[in-house]
Amino acid sequence: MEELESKINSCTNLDELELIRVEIFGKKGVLSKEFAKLKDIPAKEKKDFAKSLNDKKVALNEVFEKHKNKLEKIALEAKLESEKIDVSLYGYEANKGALHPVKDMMDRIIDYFVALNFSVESGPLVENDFNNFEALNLPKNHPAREMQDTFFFGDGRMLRTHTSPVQIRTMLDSKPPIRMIAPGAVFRRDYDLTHTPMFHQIEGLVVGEKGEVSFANLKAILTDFLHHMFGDVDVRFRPSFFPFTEPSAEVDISCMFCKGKGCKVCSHTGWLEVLGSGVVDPNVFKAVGYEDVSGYAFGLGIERFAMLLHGVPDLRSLFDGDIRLLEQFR
Amino acid sequence: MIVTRSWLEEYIDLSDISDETLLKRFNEIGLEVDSYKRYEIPEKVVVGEIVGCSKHPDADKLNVCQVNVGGEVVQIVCGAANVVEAKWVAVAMVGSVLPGDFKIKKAKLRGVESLGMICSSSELGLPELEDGIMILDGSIGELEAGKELNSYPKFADSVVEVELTANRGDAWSIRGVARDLSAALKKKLNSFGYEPTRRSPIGVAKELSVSSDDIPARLIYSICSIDRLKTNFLERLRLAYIGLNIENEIDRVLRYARHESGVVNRAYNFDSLAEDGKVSLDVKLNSNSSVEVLSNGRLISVVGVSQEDEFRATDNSKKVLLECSYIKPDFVVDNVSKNGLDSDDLYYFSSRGSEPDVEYGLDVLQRAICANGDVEFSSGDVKVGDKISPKKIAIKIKDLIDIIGDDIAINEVSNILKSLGYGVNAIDNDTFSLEIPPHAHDVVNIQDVAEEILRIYGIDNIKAKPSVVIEKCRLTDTYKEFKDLRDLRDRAVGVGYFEAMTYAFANKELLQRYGFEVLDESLELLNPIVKELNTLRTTILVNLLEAANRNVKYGKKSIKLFESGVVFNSKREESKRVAFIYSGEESRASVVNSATSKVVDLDSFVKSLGGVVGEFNLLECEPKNSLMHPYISADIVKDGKSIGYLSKLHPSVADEFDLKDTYIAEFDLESVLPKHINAEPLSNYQAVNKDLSVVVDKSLTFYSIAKVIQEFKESENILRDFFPLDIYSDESLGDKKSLTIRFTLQSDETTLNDEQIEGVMGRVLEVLNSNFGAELR
Repeated sequence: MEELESKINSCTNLDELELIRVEIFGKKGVLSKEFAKLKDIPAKEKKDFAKSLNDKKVALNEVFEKHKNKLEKIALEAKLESEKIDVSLYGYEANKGALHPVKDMMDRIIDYFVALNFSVESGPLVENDFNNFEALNLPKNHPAREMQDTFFFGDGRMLRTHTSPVQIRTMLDSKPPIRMIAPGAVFRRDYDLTHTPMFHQIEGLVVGEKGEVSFANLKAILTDFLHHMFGDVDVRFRPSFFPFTEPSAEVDISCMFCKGKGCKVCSHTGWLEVLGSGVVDPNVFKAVGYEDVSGYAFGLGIERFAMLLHGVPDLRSLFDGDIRLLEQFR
Repeated sequence: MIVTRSWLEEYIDLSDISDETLLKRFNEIGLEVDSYKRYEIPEKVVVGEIVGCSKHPDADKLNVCQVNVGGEVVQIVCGAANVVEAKWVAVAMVGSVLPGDFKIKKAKLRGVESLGMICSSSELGLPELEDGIMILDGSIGELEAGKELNSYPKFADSVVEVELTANRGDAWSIRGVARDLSAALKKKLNSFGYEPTRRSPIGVAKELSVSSDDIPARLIYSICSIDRLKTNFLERLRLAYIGLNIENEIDRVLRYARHESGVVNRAYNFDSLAEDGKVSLDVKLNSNSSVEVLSNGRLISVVGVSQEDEFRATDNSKKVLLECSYIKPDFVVDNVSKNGLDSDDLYYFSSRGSEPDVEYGLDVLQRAICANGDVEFSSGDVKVGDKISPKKIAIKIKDLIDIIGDDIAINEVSNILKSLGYGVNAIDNDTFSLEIPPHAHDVVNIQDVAEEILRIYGIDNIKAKPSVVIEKCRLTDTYKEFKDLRDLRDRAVGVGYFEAMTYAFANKELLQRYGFEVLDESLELLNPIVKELNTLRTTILVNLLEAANRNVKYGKKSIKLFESGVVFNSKREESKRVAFIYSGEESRASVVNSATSKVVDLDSFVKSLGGVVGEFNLLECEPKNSLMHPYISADIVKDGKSIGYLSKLHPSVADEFDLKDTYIAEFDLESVLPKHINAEPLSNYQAVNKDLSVVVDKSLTFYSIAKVIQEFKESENILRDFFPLDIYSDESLGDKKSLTIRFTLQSDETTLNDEQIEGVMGRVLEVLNSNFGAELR
């Protein structure tokens, strides 16, 4: 018995153990031979003999299983060790692209206004004079038309110079109250270091009953919006002029690069202009046939937001599909 | 508009206002500060009085001056030619330090001792005034030898450029800006009056007669005889501060007066107009709506628009006819635009609304002329056209408060408007009658008035108030499309594409060369900005190829870009597409691939697209444009409908863009956005895979077989799926190939038995045999 036990335990691998298993537990094994003796044992002793033999078998089996487990563990360890590789050689190539920072910025701005129950509206890039100028209180010959150098087509249409025509389309198509934004591409005939002939804007318009929507409301939402986008910055409203709003204001934030001290980015003023806004001019409402209403509107350039927020120095690089720029946003 | 502090101070007391406060207030009232410069004169630069001047014994171009610098007379050698005319000058004393760290020391010039320097304006860090040294006069204040120049406030001035928006014609002058400041700072605006020092007893009517139609303009005329016309130092200094370098004296005077008053002014050579010593003018409203000034039938000017050079006063004119004018801006703008009139630089001001008070304008002009000149004015003046009367509107205080959204006290509103020149009369407790001053030509309704209040009251002082909103679902289809597109873009990023954003423009020649449609000629862009962007794009792919080419130049070996956006057809109708380009290496050489990079192939391109737009089939197609490879290109088909195309980039195009193996695809955006899905019940019984190998014609595409099986599948509910498993050909097969298709079979009701399985497979074979002559291999 002890001899068999030590035989099992002396096995150093699973193949040897298998041979021993056959030798002990197999059909022609030691135990089978012992059980075969049972038939020659007198009936009186038969029971005791059988019991003792069974006990031995159970004990041996236990020894066998234990040793087998041990050897399996060793074999697994060896297998695992053989699979060892230098993991630090991997991981240099991520199969992931990146969203364009301007488009991503647009999405983030949309998210903010949708959360404040604004609808998202859209319109065509090729517009007519009424939607792009006339209805926005920019009659022909108005000096303010010069502010926006326009691309014209042979049939008198034009590429929209701002997203404001979507205001007009939305007002013509629906009734107040209106809470809408219109994101999209706009076009101006300007091409230099700080201007591209196409860029993106988001326009906002809120219309309610007369006396319901005020400049104070505009101040509240834009201040909150700019804090949401730029964090802890100072917000400044400056009276300004836009043909489609009156009173109008431009909105500045304190320069995040110099903390308002003055640097190249803010032209040493400490402030960065980021938004145009105002109370909707009554002539705009008149053009769309609205009466007894009040409203505010605002607009911003998305490229400018993206450049300021991510510190992108060159506007034109945003239109190049330059992977060196894009992969930084991975 | 450039203003200087001392110039403003002629109209408003700024003694207790720092420059910093001034700039802040400018921004707050809507005069955005563009630039600011404070001119400081270095210490020990003093007023000097030249008491003697003689030629340098050894140098032709030098003069030796004796200069009283207060308490002593010093000798200074000066190289400027104009020193001989000078009495009062700026002297940098020994020990002073001029801009550029230029230290003034005792010196000997060609053997003559020099104790200081007589300065030019630029040597003191001021804008350039005239050739040579600066010759001072009493216009900057009483000149006192030895007095520090920095102590003359009109000299060491602060210069501010403010940006004026198109509606602020009223602020295109020193007085206009001062008027705004007076309201903002609650300070009095000084009135202005001037009476020329010399008046001849001859009345102007003896020399001038003016007749006029009923015109939307007002003009005033005055005549002066000129013995000598010379601007003073202060006028020249201020013109230099506002960035002007004007050659002749008459134009300097006109410009100086216009900048101060905002009134459009002109000067005519009296003698060029006079007949028998008398000028007669006729101010007519032309049939084209121009207001013309004629003299004996000759056009001499168009009011607010232009002036004929022939009659213009020059520095040689002995007698000058002065004109100050105002014309209604809307009228002149329409007229110029309608008739395409040529206009001079004064039109810029008349079109934005110049100062209507022409009498005041003439006073300012007369003072400017008399400042340093020797001139005599005829008595009186001649005016034509009616005075612009104030518009009247009634406004309800509540409406005004509603627009602003914050309670502003009624008397505050009234005070602000009065300080801006409005007449304010209470009709009753809540209604005002307002008389809008003529200079505020842009103010026509209550919202314009609200803007005036807001500017002066200060937006900072308005309490922000969030809106109260009535809840409503505002998730529009446009928003849904944005969300779906965002998901699609995120998936593209997930499989390694970078999002490009290129112009909606294209190069027409390139589009044509590659066989894309272009806009109809009648719908084409009239004024493209550059040749490369001379039309609207009809595909995104050419833009992406150009972007890929730039990336090659930047050294990128693997280029994976996509863009979603608008394209146009020949009728200029807009549609949205999403396009992909995959070029060069799929993975770079590294340990992982035993240092061999893998170049992109159709399989990996198609897989990457599948990761973005989901499952699709490819159908062999004719090339639609010459970017496409004639044999490796396909229509992309989903649910039996073409949703776009893909191709290997034609190798000759790849060469043109300097690209390695490249694949391109363009989809109609709407058809790749997610659709509504109805789920099908799941089977609880095991699925069985069965492979079928058939021999068919080599040229037979899998797509044609798939279409037939797809149709057949409709009637066999246990046939769930199939795909091509293997393809094989060898000599023994000749012009045939062996195709193995794997089928997945499953029932919703039972575990399939052999009979059912063999039944379906048998029927598949029959169908393939009858359609394509397929034989079991």
